[in-house]
Amino acid sequence: MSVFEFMFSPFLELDFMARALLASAAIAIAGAPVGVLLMFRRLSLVGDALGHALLPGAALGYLMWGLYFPALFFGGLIAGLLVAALASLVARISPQREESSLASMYLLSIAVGVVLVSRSGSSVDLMHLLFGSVLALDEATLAMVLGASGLALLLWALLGRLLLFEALDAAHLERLGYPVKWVHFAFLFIVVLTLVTGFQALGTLMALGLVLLPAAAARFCVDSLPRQIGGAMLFGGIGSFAGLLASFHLNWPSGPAIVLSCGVIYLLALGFGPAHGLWSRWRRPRHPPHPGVTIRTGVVVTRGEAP
Amino acid sequence: MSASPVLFDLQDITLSYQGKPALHHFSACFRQGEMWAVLGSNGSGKSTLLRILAGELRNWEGRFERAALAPRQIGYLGQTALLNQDLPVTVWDVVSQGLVMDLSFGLWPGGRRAASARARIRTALEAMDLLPLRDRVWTHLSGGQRQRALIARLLVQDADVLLLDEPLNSLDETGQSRLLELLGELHRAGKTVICVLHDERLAARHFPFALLMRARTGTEARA
Repeated sequence: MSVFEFMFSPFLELDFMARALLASAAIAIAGAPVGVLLMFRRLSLVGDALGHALLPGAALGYLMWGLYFPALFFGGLIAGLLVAALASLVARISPQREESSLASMYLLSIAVGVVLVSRSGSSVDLMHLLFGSVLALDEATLAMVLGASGLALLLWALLGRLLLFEALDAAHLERLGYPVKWVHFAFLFIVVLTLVTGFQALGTLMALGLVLLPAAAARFCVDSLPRQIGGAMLFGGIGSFAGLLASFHLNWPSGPAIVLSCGVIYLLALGFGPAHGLWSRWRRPRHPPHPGVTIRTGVVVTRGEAP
Repeated sequence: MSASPVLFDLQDITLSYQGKPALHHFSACFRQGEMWAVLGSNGSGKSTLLRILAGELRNWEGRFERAALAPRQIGYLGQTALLNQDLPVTVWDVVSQGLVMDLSFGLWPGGRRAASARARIRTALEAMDLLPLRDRVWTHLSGGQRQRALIARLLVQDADVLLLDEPLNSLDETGQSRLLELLGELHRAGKTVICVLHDERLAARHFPFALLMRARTGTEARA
């Protein structure tokens, strides 16, 4: 078997592999801006927790229509939006912060979800919901994943600057007279949309794996925001490809294999990323030599001049 | 001077933080086109006054009348801008936030209005001596450079009323005198400027009016 065959024939010959690659690449590309913004707003864990909150919605869809992806998709979307709205409502009307009210909400909803599924489904079904089944995507589901990713990208194109400014300085945006609450809700909507598409591939437990890990890796490699988003897209694509390949050849479960590949990219970037990786930080000289100038107790003495 | 309309009229205003009054039976009147220096010791309520004028604080008691002003006609520079300190946006991005209504909300370049907006951003960057740093990541700047970027963000907004809370902080002497000259120019162009500062000599040299505030009681003085 040649290297080319090893790497590409699974995707060229097997439709389900091609669909899986297309879907996970779309998730990675549409999710990159979300991942980067979540990271800089220190909301990575919040986004991740919101992913778990999809479970009861997906479980209800599953109870009514079986392992039928559109039902899981819309069930998850509604549950995610509901939990996000409830969490910010609780934060608004009670002294509890959004992040701790979200923790309570998502624990509640994951428990409800697991109970719902185990009452009528098998443990295999539960595993599907928790860890995803990107290899089982049919064409209709792929179309939905692509459509939702496209919608997320479209929303970024239409509202990207407002969303960025809301992350940068929401108070200033409010002073200029913008409905900051709605901008924030648009951001949450895009996060939930990303989660629901991610959930199709990676399950509720790791829905953001394909989004957060590449974003974190990109931060170690480049400095500016657009480049970090581009880098996250690239890393997510590579992670999807490598993960699916590992899943195919080594017979690993597909979702964890994809997240694992992204994790390896993250660790490599952490070690060797050119911008902020540990290696570059360690190797960089502490004091760049500057010829001709010595600083002595606050007096700058230039070479050739008597001290 | 007294012919110009009243912008802010405060009568007997009291505002307390947790039972302790920051402003105590304070009265003052600011007219359009005036340029005020607000002076006073720490805790005398200068920042509180500015935040009331800016509409940030609303839990005052007393009578406060404010001329009808659109939100973007008031430019407010707080003492602590709560900018996300991690986000690696450029200086240009930060300054352009003051003009988001003219730029597009999305990522496309925008139309003719956006082109003139970009020209205004360029002018503001130039005025604050930031043009060479326009593509630098904001988080890598020094304190004074950040302050200049925030002032530039305020300038592009082209507000009629400028409320500045210690804008001279962390600026070097060149930056301070340049900003004061700029505020004078804006004043001559008809803008209302109300500025908190600590240096009485600078206040006397650059500001036609000064408001001296004392802890517990507000005192109005015209220089």
